Amino acid sequence: MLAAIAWKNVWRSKRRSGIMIAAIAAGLWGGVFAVGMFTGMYDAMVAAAIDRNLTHVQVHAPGFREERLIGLAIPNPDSVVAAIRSNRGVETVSPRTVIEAIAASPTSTQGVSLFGVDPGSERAATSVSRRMVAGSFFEGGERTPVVIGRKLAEKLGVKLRAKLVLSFQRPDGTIVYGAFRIAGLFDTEATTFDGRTVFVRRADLDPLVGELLIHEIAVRIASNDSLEAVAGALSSRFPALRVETWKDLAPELKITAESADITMGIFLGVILLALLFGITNTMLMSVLERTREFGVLIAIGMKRTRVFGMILTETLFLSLTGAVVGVACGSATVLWFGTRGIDLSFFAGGLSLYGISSFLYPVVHPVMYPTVAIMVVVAACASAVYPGVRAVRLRPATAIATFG
Amino acid sequence: MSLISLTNIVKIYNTTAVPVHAVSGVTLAVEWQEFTAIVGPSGSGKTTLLNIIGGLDSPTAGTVVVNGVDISTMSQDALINFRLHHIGFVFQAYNLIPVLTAAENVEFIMLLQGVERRKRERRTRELLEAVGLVDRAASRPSELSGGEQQRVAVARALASTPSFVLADEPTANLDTASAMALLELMEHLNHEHGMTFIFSTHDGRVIKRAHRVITLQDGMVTSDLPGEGVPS
Repeated sequence: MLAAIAWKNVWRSKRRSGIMIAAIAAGLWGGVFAVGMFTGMYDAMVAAAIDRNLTHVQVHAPGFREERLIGLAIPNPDSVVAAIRSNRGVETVSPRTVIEAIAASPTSTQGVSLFGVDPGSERAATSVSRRMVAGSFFEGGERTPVVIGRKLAEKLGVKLRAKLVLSFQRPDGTIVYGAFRIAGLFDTEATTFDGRTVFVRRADLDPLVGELLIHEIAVRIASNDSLEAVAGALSSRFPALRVETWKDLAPELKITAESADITMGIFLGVILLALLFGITNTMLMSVLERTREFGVLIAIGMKRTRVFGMILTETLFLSLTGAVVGVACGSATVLWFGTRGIDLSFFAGGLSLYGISSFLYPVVHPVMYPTVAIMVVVAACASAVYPGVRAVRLRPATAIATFG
Repeated sequence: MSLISLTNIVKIYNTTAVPVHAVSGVTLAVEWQEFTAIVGPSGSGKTTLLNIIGGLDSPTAGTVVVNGVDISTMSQDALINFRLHHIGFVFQAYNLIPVLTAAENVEFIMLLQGVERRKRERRTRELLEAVGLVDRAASRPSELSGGEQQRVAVARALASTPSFVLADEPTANLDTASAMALLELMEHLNHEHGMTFIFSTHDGRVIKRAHRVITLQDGMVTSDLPGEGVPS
């Protein structure tokens, strides 16, 4: 019955409660949508990095990632690749030769990361082949084709079908030069990647290197949920190799993804903090208007803790009603834009520096709902304290004598 | 042992520059089943005295013993509990809970007492029958006349099965017909059920029906006489 009374009390002043509920709903609507935007941005950034080149898991010889030395290759790479492919949860595997090289055009030179890949495997493992803006990802019949980023092509002053000379140090210390023809230009959302990445076929690279060297095995798994399980299984199977997930390979992404939740929590917290004052004001007005009534309730024997509980319940009802409406509207908006996307091409230049696509798909993680619920309850409880204390401190004889 | 025993009650308000002596040395006793009126002009201390008897206000000096319990030294929380189980209140402005129906208003106090639901509902119906409002059980206070609201207030006061009912100017806001009906109801409850009523009033119609009339002036009892009403 006390809950029923509290609910009825919320609707005594329909206009005032309605305005407060609308304010809470609007605040949370905006908050949830903003969280959806940021979460979508962070998720897209992680997904884009995984799709672009990182993949979920990478296997290297110890020390390779730090030294980038051509001699630090994976021993018996074919058997390792075959073993990884047979692992449960593994979708595709792309073995890569990775060499720090110099790309030279007739007008310029640039330091690049040279990837010798099997085009079929790389196509399945990453999204570069789908980001071609000119030519193709080794689908033409060119001899010694090379695929580079459009940004790198601009730096080198070359176009499709232009000649490019790649030079690097072989394991024996000698410098080797190879002439390649640009068969494709890609353009991803990451300008840094586009500005220093070069792909060639391993079949063309191996003769230049002089031996079969695999430095990196990129592993794409079926679901990010099984990331740790797959990485753990591979680590156990290849204790002499370094098996790392994308979180280890790109710790800045991991930190970004993790800090996103904290940032969003703070963001929602600030919104609720602002609403807290509004809720407190509404409840305080409600209590002051009902001074005589609270006096009567205390007079006839309602304990002060129950009076406080009633005000707390009213505040919770008021806040939760607004929260349900706001979160529902926010979620619906996120869902709507989540399927259609938001075109941010106006900011494409800035976003690409962070590897973020200019088309954003907002998303809300399920964990946000209990987080918002807890935050609303905490904010409501905090809002109820002052009005509640005012009510329980009333002296019944004085309160009953109040006009109202 | 008297139901209520006041000994040398003093109440001084210090809320203004000059202390106000609302009650000055009142000593009196009220017995079970009395139908007592406390009368006097405005500012004579009637309401203050009722508040002190009802534990809504504490005396500056003196002792208040109700049903053998000294309530003048009780903590506020203990007083709330005491009022819930021992005292029924009827206020001048009815003071029903506006969002509750007549029945819910009556039932509410039993809810506070922890009475189980079926018993609450049965007693609510009995009380509304007693005050002649069973057909208005589902009406909210705003849908009831002043007289009807005050009858609901009486039913609410009786719902806790109190030792006595304090009524502060219960007829002040009522027309003559409603006032007489309310008085008859209170008299009936006094006669038939032995319920003790103590009410403040300066309504001559009420004073005539009282069995005992205590007159206050400037916070002091100036007379304590049998009334014209018929004692139970």
